[in-house]
Amino acid sequence: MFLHIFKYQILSSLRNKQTVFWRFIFPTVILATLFQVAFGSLFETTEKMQAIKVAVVCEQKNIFFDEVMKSVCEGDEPLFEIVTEDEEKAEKLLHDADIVGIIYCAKEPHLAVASEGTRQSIVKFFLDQYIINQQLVMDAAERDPSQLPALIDSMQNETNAVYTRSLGKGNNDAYIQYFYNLLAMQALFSYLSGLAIITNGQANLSEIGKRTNAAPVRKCLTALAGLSGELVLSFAGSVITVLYLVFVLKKDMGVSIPVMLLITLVGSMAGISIGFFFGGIGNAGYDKKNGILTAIIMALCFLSGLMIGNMRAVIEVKAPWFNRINPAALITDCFYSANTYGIGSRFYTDILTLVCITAILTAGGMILTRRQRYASL
Amino acid sequence: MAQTVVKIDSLVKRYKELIALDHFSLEIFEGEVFGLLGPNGSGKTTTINCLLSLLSFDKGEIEIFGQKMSPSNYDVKSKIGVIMQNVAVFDELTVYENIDYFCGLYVKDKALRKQYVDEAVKFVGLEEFTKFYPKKLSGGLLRRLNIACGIAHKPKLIILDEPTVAVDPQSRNKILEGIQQLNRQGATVIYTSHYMEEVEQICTRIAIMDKGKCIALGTKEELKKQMKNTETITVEIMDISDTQLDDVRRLTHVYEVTLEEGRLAVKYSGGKHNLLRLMTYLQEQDIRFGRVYSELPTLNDVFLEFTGKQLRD
Repeated sequence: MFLHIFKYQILSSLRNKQTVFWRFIFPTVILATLFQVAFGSLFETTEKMQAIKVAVVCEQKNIFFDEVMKSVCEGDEPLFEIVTEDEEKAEKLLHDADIVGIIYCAKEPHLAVASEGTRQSIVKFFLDQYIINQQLVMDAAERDPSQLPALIDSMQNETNAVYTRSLGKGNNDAYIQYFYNLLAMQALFSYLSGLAIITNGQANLSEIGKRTNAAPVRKCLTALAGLSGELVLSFAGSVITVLYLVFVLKKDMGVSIPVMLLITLVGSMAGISIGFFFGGIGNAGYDKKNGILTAIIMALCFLSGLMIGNMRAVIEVKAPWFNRINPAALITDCFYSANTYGIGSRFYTDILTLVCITAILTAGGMILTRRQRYASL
Repeated sequence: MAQTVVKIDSLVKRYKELIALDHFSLEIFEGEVFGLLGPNGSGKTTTINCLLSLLSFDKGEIEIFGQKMSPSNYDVKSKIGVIMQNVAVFDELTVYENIDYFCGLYVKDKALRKQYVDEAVKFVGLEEFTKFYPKKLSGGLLRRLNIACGIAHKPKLIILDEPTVAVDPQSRNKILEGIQQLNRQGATVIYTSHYMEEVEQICTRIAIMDKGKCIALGTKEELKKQMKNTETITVEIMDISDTQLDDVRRLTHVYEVTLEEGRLAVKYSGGKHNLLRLMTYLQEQDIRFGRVYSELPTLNDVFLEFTGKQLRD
């Protein structure tokens, strides 16, 4: 009986054009491709750390400063790129925003910038740090030159205390979260399946429900068989999207494929259970409930950052509890934490929370479907 | 005496202030084609839904095949086939798959199920449409598919709730013939309709419902016998005086005479040779007349007499 219902559930869903579109075509072909076109190379061109373009104009010879500048402009990842040393040309470049600032080399170097920003702050911080250190060395030389080697050592140690630490082997592309949100949205849109299952299982919601309820079959069995069939299809949709992102769009997702599939599987379960539970409340028809649930799911996705990238961070400040129960935010955070920190406690907490949400909603849906007789049909 | 298949005892169903079923009682015997006749809102579908344990009720008891009916009485449910008023099939499954799916809820054995599904397809005459999707079927064919889904598992009790609504005459005849055939094969049938011709054609016993009550019960002959009116003679008349009309009223067994737009309608309660007596009087009085009709009462007249309104009001 279970396999009989399971088979026909899959068959009917695969032939439902609306379901196929929302499950397979829209998230995979349309949104994923669109995101790739929009954000694919944005990080490489705008966000990735590149050498800051500056001009260095010499007002007064400072050999110490020259040496320091030389050292920070060398290597694989130089901090600065000196574009020109001509003052007149530098001023024009600054005016045209082709350089971040003009560093004036003097006994005490100083800076001219045309606007405020992160890169300007980096240059200023660099100069401030240099001036402090230069003053310390000069003071020490005047007071007790024998202490200079020890002071220089301590400055080097201080410098070494600040080092780059990789939190994971993931992708630090800030725009990758849009793809995480996409996978979260796809998983949550499985609510359509849960809604269809409960609608077809309830005599007060559909004609098929009446026929099913008149048959000698346990309602929980028909519901479980239907839900299982829908989970297989939803997961298949997620697998296709993941493979499309990784192998067709060549997107570095920062998370291994098995982990991504685990997240989307749990996310699909959560999505189906949302439709299954909320679809069973009230006597409203399928279309009305579909409209309400679509709006809710889109709102959850919005609050997890699907439309505005930093929305999840904003919610984390304003109402952090909401991020702990918003399935869309939890799915996104699974990806984010796996990418940034690796598989750890945060990842497991997110996954377990999603499993709990699924279990509670599915159990609630089962209780609703177990209703013996209806007050009105 | 035939065994009781369905026993409804003093069923009461309320929707807030509205009483949908008012101490409704009924007994249906094995081998009957039992008609539930009544206008929209009379309580036919409510009765069916209570019978199937889909709908809760306030008072009363329902027994089917000698067992108390409940939502978890799968033994009884497995012997019932139901064809609801609205078509209940999956749009994404073909004709064959739909029948197979619903049959599979009753029959686990695959080989037996295949046999049953093939027989159901043949029974409703959908052999040429097995691979069609429901949306490609006409209204009549869709109704036939709906019936096939309900009877494929060979139920002993078949409940049909207005199965011929919006069906073309050809499909309607096919459906009615099919119901009679199912009955001949041993199934007890409960048939609800507000088409009196259908009920008159196929039902062996009829209950007339109005406002949740059974207002009359019996065979169509028994029901008609309960009526005052036994015959209505209508005459297209050219001219008749009030005195002559009074004379007609005084003829034997006449209980009502009306004259509207040149049509004289004379109603009789019993008696023989009523037409001959009326014609003789008209000829004696030299009253010119055109066509003459003599009509026996229909179920609609029965309904009209019991409720004071037309069946399709």
